[in-house]
Amino acid sequence: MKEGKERELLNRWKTTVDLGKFVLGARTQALPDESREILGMIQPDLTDTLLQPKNRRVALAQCDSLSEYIEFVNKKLDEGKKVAYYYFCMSPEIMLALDMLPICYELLGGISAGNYIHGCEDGIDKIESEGYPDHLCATQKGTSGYLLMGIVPKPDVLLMYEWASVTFGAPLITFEMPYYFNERAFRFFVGEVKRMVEQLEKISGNSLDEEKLREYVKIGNQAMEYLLKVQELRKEVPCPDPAWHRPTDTAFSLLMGRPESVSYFKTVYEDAEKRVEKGESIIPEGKKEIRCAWGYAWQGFSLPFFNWLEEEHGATYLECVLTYFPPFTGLVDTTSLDTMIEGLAWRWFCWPMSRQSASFSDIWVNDFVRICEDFKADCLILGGHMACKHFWALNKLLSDRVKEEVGIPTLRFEQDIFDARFTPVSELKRIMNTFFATL
Amino acid sequence: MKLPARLENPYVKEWKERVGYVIGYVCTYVPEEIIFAAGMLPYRVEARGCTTTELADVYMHRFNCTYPRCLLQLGLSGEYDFLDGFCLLNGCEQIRRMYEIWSKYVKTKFMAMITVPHAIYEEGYEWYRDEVSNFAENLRGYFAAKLTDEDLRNAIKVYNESRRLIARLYDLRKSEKPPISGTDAFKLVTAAFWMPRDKYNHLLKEALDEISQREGISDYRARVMIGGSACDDPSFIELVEGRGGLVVTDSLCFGTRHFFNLVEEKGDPLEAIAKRYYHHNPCPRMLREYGNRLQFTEKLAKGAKVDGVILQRISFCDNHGVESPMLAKDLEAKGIPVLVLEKEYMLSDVGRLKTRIEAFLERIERR
Repeated sequence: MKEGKERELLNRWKTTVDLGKFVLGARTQALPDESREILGMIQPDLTDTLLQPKNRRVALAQCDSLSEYIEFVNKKLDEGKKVAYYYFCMSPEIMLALDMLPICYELLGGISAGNYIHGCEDGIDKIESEGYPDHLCATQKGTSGYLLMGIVPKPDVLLMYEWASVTFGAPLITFEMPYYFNERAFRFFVGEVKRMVEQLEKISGNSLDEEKLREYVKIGNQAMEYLLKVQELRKEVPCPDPAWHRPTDTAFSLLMGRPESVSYFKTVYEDAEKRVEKGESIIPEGKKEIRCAWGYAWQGFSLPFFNWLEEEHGATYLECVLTYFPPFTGLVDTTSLDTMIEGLAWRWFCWPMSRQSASFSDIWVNDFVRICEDFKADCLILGGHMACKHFWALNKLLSDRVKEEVGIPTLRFEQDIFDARFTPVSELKRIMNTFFATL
Repeated sequence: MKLPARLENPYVKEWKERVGYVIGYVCTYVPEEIIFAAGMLPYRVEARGCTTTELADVYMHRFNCTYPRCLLQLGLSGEYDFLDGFCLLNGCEQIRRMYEIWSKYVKTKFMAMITVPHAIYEEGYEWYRDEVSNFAENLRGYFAAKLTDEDLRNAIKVYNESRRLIARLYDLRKSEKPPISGTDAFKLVTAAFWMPRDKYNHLLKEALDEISQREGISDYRARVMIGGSACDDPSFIELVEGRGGLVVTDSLCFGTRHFFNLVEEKGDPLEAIAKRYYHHNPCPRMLREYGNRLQFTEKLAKGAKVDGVILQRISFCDNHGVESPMLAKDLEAKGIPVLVLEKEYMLSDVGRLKTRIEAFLERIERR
């Protein structure tokens, strides 16, 4: 356990992970006394879910990976490296190569939301108590509140978050994702990434070393390769990849460049591949599979909910806007510094949600018409995140097109993906029961 | 001056009969001069007095702010059938999504989108300039408009004249006894959006000559500035003034933020227009500009000697949802009282608004 208030959340996670390993049988040493407090915070049904045979290996890989990531963050903090908070539509290879400590802003609230009974509500309540409206995105509110509470590291630089930049006096780097998905827009975006590198070099005091970057990009490529392969496997009938992996896929894709991301996606892929080879299913024997394309977002406050979907309804989770990389995303060419920067820019250009939400509705709609067809979906589920106003102005266009071209129905409901108080799990289950009864 | 009402606009009627095309637009980043120079009437779409969103709600949700929903409502109900074109912008998460719905269901013939980077910097400007240039090209191509440099220069002169006249109106309101109420001033200012600008200039000049002779208003409780989300409806200003406040300035995108900052009249006209629109007092959508917005707001507040600022924010408006508590905190620290007031675009929940405004004025009086 590391001292210092700014490590309070990290310490909370560390104890959580140790408890997870203990439960999963991977840790035998006795846990310290303070673990009891954390144990009381953890969602009780999370343990049941992770202990299921189909979930155990990935659950353990997650615990190990998160444990290593916490160690990495602590080490960088000990070394006094510059803390760079980055946006959730990119990966941290460049910051790693510049020897900074990259922390994804949304991940702090997200990991808390996924583990604890009260998720990241403490952070959300803190920022809302400052006058910020409840309809803003909880993925950012959680972390913003934690920053105000002082329980996470202070930023030295922010990629995209003006509020935090003003509040903590840290420089703000922005990069523009142009509104079009074409060559002109991509060229502009490559320029943006290059400009971002220049600014990060100044702030970190290091210049971007080609060899170092190659090292991290290769690690990122490994994770990406597994991710794309498992994405393909989800087209199989029955779907071989459990639904609760979708929120964690999002989390670990944000760590591409770190070995933890590779371990996670490798395990997910191996499990899925084995099931395909053996013709095994992730839903109970005798249940008919209901293949669900989630046209927008998972919720991150109850992973057991997704397990319940499989167990209760045989409903599998194929793809969503927060996880889908188009197959043409590919890998980053590591030939030179230029190809790596351009390759990372291309990956971020294709990044889930960024690609769909930062452009015309057509991109999103067309992606999901194609996904529903390719993944042989039986229905489209639109779990709309309350804060995402752009989604709420396209969901009808999306469901109409999917009905027209694929002939499948849509379920739409409201949720806050990091705040269970908005639509509690019990209500989500009621909504699902009603929908599947009419399907 | 006969003011252009939403449902009864003689200027648009006359334009359609005698001149031709009307092009709708949203947001302060769409350069009106280009439309005007192409021989068309730029019309900033609005929904003053709109009371329902039932048609729009089929495509937009209750989590979308009522500004785009009201605009869409009017589009879907046929009130904007007079538009020959519509130029949207990626101004915010909600406005930008109107593009596809409007294209598909309102079926305005010519649809355009100008995309603006979310920060102010050289390369961002180059992107925006190209967008503006493409927009001009599209107008030329679709409507067979000439749109020469000379046309652009003339349009710049006309629009700059408006800006100077409107600035004069704001200056008059700085005096101890402003000669015009905030409500009437706002009606005069916003009329510019919905009538030919050369005619507007002529009429505004006459109005200013008359207004400047007035004795002035002194029976007010407090001098107030209005800021925050899009607000084109004078009924909100009227509500504030009905409680005894006198609105003497604003930082609205239908007010100072749209009309301040001139276009350079020398040099390449398209470049000059793009520069002015990209660099004008920025909307909260523009990152890295908070300091400038704070400075702009403070300067306006001090210049008009306001006693307090009302930042009205429309429910579910992200941009002002984040900006208003930041501004409130910083302005209060500078000794300027601030009321952050959540409201809908259309005037509703009037009882609550009145109570909040009344309490704010009482707070100011107690100082």
